[in-house]
Amino acid sequence: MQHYRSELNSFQSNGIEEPQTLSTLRSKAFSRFTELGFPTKKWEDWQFTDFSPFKKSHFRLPTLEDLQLALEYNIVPLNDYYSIIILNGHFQENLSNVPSGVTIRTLLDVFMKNEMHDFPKTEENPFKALNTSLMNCGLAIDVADDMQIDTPIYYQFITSGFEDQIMNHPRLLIRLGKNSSANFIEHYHSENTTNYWNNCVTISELGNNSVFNHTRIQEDTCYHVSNLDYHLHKDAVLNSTIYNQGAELNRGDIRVSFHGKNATANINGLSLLKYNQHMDTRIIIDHMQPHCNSHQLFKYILDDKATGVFNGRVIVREDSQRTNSSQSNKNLLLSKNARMQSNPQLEILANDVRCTHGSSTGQLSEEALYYLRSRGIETTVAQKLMVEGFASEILEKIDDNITAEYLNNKVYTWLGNLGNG
Amino acid sequence: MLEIKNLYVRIKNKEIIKGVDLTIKAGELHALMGRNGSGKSTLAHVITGKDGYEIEGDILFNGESILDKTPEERAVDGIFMSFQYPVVIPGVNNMYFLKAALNAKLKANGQSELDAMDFLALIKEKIKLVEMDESYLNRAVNDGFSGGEKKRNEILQLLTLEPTFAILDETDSGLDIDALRIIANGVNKYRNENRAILAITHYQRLLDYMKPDIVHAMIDGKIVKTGGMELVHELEEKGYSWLVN
Repeated sequence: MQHYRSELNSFQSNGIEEPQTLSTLRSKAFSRFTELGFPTKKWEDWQFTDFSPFKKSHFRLPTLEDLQLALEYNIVPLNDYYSIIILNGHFQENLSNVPSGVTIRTLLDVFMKNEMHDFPKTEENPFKALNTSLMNCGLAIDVADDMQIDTPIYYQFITSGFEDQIMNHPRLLIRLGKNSSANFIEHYHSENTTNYWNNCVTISELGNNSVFNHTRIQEDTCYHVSNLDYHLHKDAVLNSTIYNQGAELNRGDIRVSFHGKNATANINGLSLLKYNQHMDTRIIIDHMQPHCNSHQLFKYILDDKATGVFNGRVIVREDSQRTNSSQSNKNLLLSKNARMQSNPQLEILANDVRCTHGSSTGQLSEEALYYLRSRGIETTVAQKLMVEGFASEILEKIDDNITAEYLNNKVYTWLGNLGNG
Repeated sequence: MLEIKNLYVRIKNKEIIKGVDLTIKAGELHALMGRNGSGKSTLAHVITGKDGYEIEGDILFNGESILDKTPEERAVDGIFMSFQYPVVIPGVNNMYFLKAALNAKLKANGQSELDAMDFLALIKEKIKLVEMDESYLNRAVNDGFSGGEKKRNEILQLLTLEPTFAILDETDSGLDIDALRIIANGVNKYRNENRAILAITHYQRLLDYMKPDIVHAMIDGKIVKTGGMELVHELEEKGYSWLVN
């Protein structure tokens, strides 16, 4: 704790002068963080993950000098998409471009205008509290009303060139005005092999009758913690795909809140884990309004000694009649030593609703493997085909072909030497 | 083409096949009839190389023992089985699967693989023969297919892969009369003097269309009687009890 406090202090004394509202927010959030501490095995929704690395390691926040380290990084554009680049925690305005109708501001600008809400004293998530207190790179992206942004906006958060332990606490606010639509790809990647940690918070606010297609691609290699909050207003539609691969330790909290009627949230996830990697997802869908739909499909593919956790909860509040909700978690174990904990839950307080949930964890079907082999397809090729098939159910839901193709290739490469080990 | 010699097969210490000898020559269509549980499907799976059997005796394909070969090796050698229960493979595109299977065979036999365009042209011809809609090519393998569609998809694979020896494991079960005609037509198009077929069935219907050369009756893991089409009629009429001593 003391270490994080001194990081906060040095950040505040070295950084650019911040408005009082921001300093107050940081302090409030930090005291909440110290009250909570890092999760332990006794915390119900956190019990399957070991968070001790965050206590033991002395991560530091990056400074302006660290920007130099990342300039060698080969930044690959995705097609001719609009681009937003953050290098080692520093927004690269000169490398970024967005269409008219979309504005980007740094959080500092946002605070100057006093737009950010107060930090809730009841915040239960210590990582969110820590992110708020140490926010070192933050952007607010606003899509104006009635804008149809068809070409995706490709946001890249790149960590590169470090030899010591660093951490980032990026904050991203995405707001869609009413009747607008946008495609947003949020991508975390790195070529760093040292101990580093990205503790991200992304808050998306979908205005009335807006459509938000969100693909989040997580390829950080070390520690990755994320909080994704989606707020849906009346008639809004969210199509979200959350892809995770490569992190040693990964905790993702997703929360969807319905603030208006007739909104729809489709959330799909694919996580690939191997070696000793660990991924823990907790998702809460809060049906606070009637006539809303939520559909979730989360898949994990686990190899070697990897471990996965899926905790899903759908809450249907008392007055949220005509809620239509489904939740499914399907997991594929490619090794005898891989483990999966799955716990989908429903909490229904309304009576006129349609809710389903289910979970399954298993290995590749022997029957299907035999069938493919009986057609002349070699075992390893057949296995790969089947795993790709398992993954494709998620990836084919991505509207944007180039993103889908990018991820298909990732899965293919990840499978690499499957069956040879 | 196929020679089964004094074959005994056990699964978990239960003897299923109890001494089968069978020789199938190029150009021949053999029918294997028998009740449920008589060992017909086990025999089929032992020929295609499914795991989990204890085997004595030998199976030769073109003069060479195949018992040590994997299912994929046997397949590229030219052995094919139309499954009684075709397996659903979620997420694996049917056309992609067919292309992978054909190219595996071409590659193993030292021939050049087909590219996507050539394969598309080929498969569009073949799918007409089984009167299937082309949309089935873009679906996952057997996923959401009706019983009849699954069986047609098996025959489509037969016609595409063009093996030299094909086992039809109850390909006729659960088919209506139109589907049965389509399947039989497909099989008849496949047939020629260089290829052989072993058709496993309970019923006369399919055999009426396909006219087997030789008919075997199997009871309790043994072939107890071999004859011609007249044996089919006799079994249809009298059942199998009269064959048991």
